[in-house]
Amino acid sequence: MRASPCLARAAIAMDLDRIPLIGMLVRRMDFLGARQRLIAQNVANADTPGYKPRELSEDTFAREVSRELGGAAPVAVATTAAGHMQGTRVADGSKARSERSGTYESTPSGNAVVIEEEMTRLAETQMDYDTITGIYRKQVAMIKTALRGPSA
Amino acid sequence: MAVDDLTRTMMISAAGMRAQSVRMRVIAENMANAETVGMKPGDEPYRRKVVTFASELDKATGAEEVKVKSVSEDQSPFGSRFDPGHPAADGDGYVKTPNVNTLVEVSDMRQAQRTYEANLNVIDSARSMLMRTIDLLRS
Repeated sequence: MRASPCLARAAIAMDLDRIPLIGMLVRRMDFLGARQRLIAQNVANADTPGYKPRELSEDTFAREVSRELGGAAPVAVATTAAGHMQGTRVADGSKARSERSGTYESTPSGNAVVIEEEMTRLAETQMDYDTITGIYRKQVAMIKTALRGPSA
Repeated sequence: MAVDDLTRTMMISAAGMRAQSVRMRVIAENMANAETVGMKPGDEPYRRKVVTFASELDKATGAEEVKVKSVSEDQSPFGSRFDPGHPAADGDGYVKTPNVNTLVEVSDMRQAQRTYEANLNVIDSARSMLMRTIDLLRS
């Protein structure tokens, strides 16, 4: 049986990412994954001469909310002529940019990675991730409860 | 090749562990040869080796991994020991000894071990995060 357009539309509407909270959680998970990658990079290079640790700058909650509520994308392409097109790519994980962090210690070889600091950040990231997946799970459970209806 | 961040994390940490194990191997070489001297007068004893690391961009994964840049020789001077009966003793009765300081090697070893463990921790954490994600499907 061919899926009717109506069904297809329903399927799109069921896309969990369209629920603002879930979309937010997914983006947060992306961010934490990227952060974990940078921590791995820093730790792997803990003995590389001249290596400076990097970290992701945290997106502020306010910006996240404004994006969720349909506010303008943080960086929009200026359209100065009628023929110009607005970019279709929404600012996603790329909003988190990597930058040097200000550490307080560097070895004579110019390496500024502090393993203890990285380990703290690692634990933080993991805890955040656990929280996010927990919230995601709860949210899905709530949707399921709503779907089950009163008869159950 | 599209690789997600957590898998990439594991690859980077694995590269870090690989680099540290090379370092460990070189430290073992140095320790094992801490008493290796020449066989006849004028022979050079064992020269200590040092490992240097460099970060390298892996084009396939887009991650900055670490690799062993070079294993070079320590240029510091040899020690000498008074041992006239030794076959490698010179005219004054001195034997050149390797420029290996066991204390330095031990502290190097500890550092390598610590970094290795840190990398292992990162892998552990990334793995747990991945498992959490997969668990989302189960509920």
